[in-house]
Amino acid sequence: MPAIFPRWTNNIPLAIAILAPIFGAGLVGGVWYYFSPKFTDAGYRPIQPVAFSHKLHAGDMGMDCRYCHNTVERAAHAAIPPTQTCMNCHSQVKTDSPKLAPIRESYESGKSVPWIRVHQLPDYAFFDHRPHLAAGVGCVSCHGRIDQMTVVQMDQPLSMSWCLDCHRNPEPNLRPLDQITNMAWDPATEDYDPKADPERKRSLTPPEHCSGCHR
Amino acid sequence: MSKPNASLKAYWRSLDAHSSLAQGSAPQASHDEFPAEAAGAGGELTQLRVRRRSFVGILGASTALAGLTTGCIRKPVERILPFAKRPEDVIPGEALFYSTGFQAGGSVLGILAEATDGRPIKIEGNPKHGASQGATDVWAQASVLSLYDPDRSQFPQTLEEGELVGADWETARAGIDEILGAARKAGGKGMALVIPWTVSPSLRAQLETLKKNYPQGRLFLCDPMAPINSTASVEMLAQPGARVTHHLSGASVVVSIDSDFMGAELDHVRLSKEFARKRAPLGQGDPMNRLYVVEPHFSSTGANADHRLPLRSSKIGPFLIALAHELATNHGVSMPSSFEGVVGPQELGEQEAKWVAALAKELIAARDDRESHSAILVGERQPAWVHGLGLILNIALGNQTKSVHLRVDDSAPVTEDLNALAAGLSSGAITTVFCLDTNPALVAPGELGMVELLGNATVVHAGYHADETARLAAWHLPINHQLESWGDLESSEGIVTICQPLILPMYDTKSTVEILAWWATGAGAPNYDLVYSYWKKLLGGNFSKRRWEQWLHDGIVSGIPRSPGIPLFEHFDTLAEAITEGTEKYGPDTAFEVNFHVDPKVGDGRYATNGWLQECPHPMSKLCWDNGAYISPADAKELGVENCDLLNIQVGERTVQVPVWIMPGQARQTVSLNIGYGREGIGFVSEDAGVNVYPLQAAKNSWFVANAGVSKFGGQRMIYSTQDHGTLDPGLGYPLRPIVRETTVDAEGKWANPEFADEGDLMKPEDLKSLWEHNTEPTLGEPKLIGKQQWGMVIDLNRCNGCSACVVACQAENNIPLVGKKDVGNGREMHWIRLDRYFSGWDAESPEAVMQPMLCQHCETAPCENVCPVAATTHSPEGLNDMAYNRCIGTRYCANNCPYKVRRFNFHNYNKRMDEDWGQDPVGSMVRNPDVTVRFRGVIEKCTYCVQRINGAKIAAHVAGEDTVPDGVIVSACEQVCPSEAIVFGDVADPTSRVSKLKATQRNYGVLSDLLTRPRTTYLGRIRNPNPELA
Repeated sequence: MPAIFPRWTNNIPLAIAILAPIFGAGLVGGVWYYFSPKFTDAGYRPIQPVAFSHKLHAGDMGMDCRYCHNTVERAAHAAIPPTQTCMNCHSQVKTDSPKLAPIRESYESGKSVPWIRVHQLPDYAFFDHRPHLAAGVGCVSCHGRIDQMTVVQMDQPLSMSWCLDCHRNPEPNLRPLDQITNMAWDPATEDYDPKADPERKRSLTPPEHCSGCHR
Repeated sequence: MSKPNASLKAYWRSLDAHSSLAQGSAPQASHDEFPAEAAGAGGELTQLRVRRRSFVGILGASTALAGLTTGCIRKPVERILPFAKRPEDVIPGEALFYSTGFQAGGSVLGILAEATDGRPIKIEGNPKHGASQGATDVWAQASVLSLYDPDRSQFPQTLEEGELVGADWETARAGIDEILGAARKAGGKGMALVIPWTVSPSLRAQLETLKKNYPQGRLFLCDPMAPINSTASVEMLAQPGARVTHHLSGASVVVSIDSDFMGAELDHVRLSKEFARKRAPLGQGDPMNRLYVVEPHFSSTGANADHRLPLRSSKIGPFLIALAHELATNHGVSMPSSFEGVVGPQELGEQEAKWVAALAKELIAARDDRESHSAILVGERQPAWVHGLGLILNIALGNQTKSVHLRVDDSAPVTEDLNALAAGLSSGAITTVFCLDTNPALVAPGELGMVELLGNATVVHAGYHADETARLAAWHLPINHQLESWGDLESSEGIVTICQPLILPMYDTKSTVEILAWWATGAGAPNYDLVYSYWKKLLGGNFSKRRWEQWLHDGIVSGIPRSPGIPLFEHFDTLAEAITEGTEKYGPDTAFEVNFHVDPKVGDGRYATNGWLQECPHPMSKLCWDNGAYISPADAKELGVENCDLLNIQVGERTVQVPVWIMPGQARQTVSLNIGYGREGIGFVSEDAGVNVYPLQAAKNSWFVANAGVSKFGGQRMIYSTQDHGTLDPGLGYPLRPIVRETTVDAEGKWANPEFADEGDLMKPEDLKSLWEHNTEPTLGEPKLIGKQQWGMVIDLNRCNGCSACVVACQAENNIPLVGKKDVGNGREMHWIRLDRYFSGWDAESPEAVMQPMLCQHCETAPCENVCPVAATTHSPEGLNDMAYNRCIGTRYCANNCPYKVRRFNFHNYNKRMDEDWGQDPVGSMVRNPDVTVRFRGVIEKCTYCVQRINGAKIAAHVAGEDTVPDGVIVSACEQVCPSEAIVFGDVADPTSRVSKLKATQRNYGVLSDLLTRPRTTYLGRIRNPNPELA
């Protein structure tokens, strides 16, 4: 009687024994990397209705972040500026630029410019800029070198574990309170000890418990 | 089942529990976390018949589908829409508070309304305003939801072939101008204007103009929540415009004659505050006032009484006459000479006679004490002559300028009552009726037959809903919400507030003052101009824009000319006649008496479309979404009815069938009915919510009717009470525990049992074993409470009167969804505060009551935390029991393990369901607080101590360079709203904080603390101040 299965089938168990772990490891590794906010969120770079270049304004011209995002020290949100703020300058500068047409239109009609949100936290996470600024966390720590971005993109994953990394050990990310908006200031190269800074009035205890951010 | 504990006073929530306790066994109340599905409710879950195998199939398929769809797409694109020109002071995402006013009936509250990004989301009391003093009530709290009411009237409507059809303001204006023109030509003859209780100076000015332009027009008052009888009494004694207010801040003896002054009466917020402040002894020897309540129906005021006498309404007048007689004959109190022969001995029962003697002695003692005085408060339900008699007694006892203040309100409109309107309509003297924010077709007593009468007249209606009157009207005009209008309100004490809008009218509506100005003058003016120009004209040269802005900022108008008039009492003979007439009218009272009450939730029906109020449990019966016919247990036995059985109530020819709710403490042979329910055709919220009982009301003296026919009707209507939900009785043969602790105080201020707050624990402190002891794993061990500040709360059971303002405030602050009547029946209500009402005493006909707000206790060693398989509920270093909704997988182990039963589970996606109910344009979601997560189906939620407020204050402190938040800066929503200041929140690690000082007093105890839960919320035990002569 001829064999039902050909001889090569004897290798199948061996092949499974070798390939299944590789496949499994690949699957786990794939999910680990591709499903994480490091891959899914960081690098998000939507096309905005107006091609506003942070590189030009904040980088080349050296405007302070807070000229436009002026609520950052007073409110949870570092609000996107009203059209009025753009027109403070652009009623004098580049008054005819076709790129600025939506801005002029918004200013005249009173309707908002529909910017696309780049740094988007889930609705159940309540982030507040104020205490971070007061603690000496620079803009660049979370937003990256905005001053070098022509189109703004998400620089960091902004995931919970990424937040907690800093909350558990904030000191490497702290800077003097007058260097908050200085994008070029790098804690790795500067010799700065937050504990010795007389400007700091209180010791840091960033929350690590749930209700610190979720409420 | 638990064994009764012989050494403890027995407390019970429902009559079932009472009867089993009386038989020596323990309450049979459901021990299930969520009671079995209520009969008749027919939940969707049981109707869905899914076999196990197909269920697993569906589960697998949906998981696979979920993986396919949600795993591979990005977050949705979110837009940021900044202002083109940002208004001054507006910071996106930050709240702004505006001072404005709120009126319910005669009560005016100064409020601070919170708006975030232009959406009004929360109401707080204005601390500068004397009538609110920082607190509010349920109605003010819920009013913000009414703004987003999907069923409010959104455009003018007109009657075409019996149907209301939409119109625009142009045509409405033309149509109504025609009616107005005809009326004006006739000098106002045949014209009637029906107004609510009007305390707005600018509106009153328009009424004056109207009177001038329509000299023969008549003005009628239609407002069941207004202080009509108390005003009538003082006007009868003195002059038109005379007004009386009561004050309890110095009264040591308070006698409530059918007055629910903590619930629905005039100035209930201020009175609750003043009463509670005299009732919070921190240690032995501290003074305490004493409250006597005589009433037919158990009210929340009655629950706070030291002595309560259930008495039928028609006996309450004679009771007060007997008291006056006792004071005059045995204590030498001088009465007006015209009372000779009028105020005489009365036929009273033994109990009542004992009360009269004891009360008289108390009142005289309070009069003779230099330090104190008394107060007699008569409820609005009693006729004017009882109010008059109460006023005479107050004055004879020297309470004037102390607990009784009198003033003359000379700009008060002179109005006629609804009986006169009905007479005018039926005789044809009135042919045109203008209704301004009133609904006579609903609230007029049934005997008047107002619907038919109005049907024959030309009606123009302006109101918030296209309601019962609108359906009879030729024209219906929609009006603004108070948060959309400019206006002004004068409180009963004469404090004036300018009301400013927080939002433009959401729909095509106009304010009442705009509409009245148009009706009065024929021409209109913008809302703002009408109010602004009124005040500018009144002050003349003293007015400045700066001053106006100061008024708007403070919420108080200062520096206005006032008439200091004090009414002079001279018409005692009129009162004497009224007393004689009034007592004669009662006639024999052998049969049932039907009582009507303003509902503590939906008022007279004006709040019936407000879901927060409908779902808030009634303070005493704990009924939601319904009214019941409250009868005493003994009467129920005689009639052979049980809860939910329909009762046929007949007054004259009119009958109504109302489901029975057996109410301990209800006076024998009386039925109490709450008005405001059973409204039809004004929206989905009020649909099928209760039974309309207005048809039973009699024309004269509409608040109670004698000689009614009451019988079993047959059949049932399911009504749901939450009184047995979340019982703290552990069952399983454990003895009952002392959840509520109380003692009494004697005349010298000594407590009967000074250790009462510490007694009754089943476990000795040395026997307690920590839940965490066996667990040495460091990450799973006892929480480390290392925060600089440790949060805690104290609730004073002596102050809490059960008004439920905290329940609604919590709902508004924390985005708590509505679940609807059916899910309440299934025990699924979501309120984070369960206001437990316990009865005590063996006599179910006249028990005592005590209120206990039960919310998450934030146990230091919380039993919920160590059963959560996913660590969704954990402890913060500052002692908060945190809840991370997005970790929760909905096992409900925590709710099961919580001994306080304060965790709530989202059985459905209630928030989404609410939005869908709101229809195409989900404006309902505009009311939500952006600082709090909106929860999804399948997660547990519970009180967070308003962690959003804690975090907000901490952030502000940290930014300012402070490590700690000063005491009193963080107030939880329930603490802020509480009219009796019963709730105090703060830092228990700081011994000088308010909360620490209270926790250090002898009255402090923790509920179930013998489970070693170490609750952070503790209670101050209740102290009753009984009169030894009545005890």
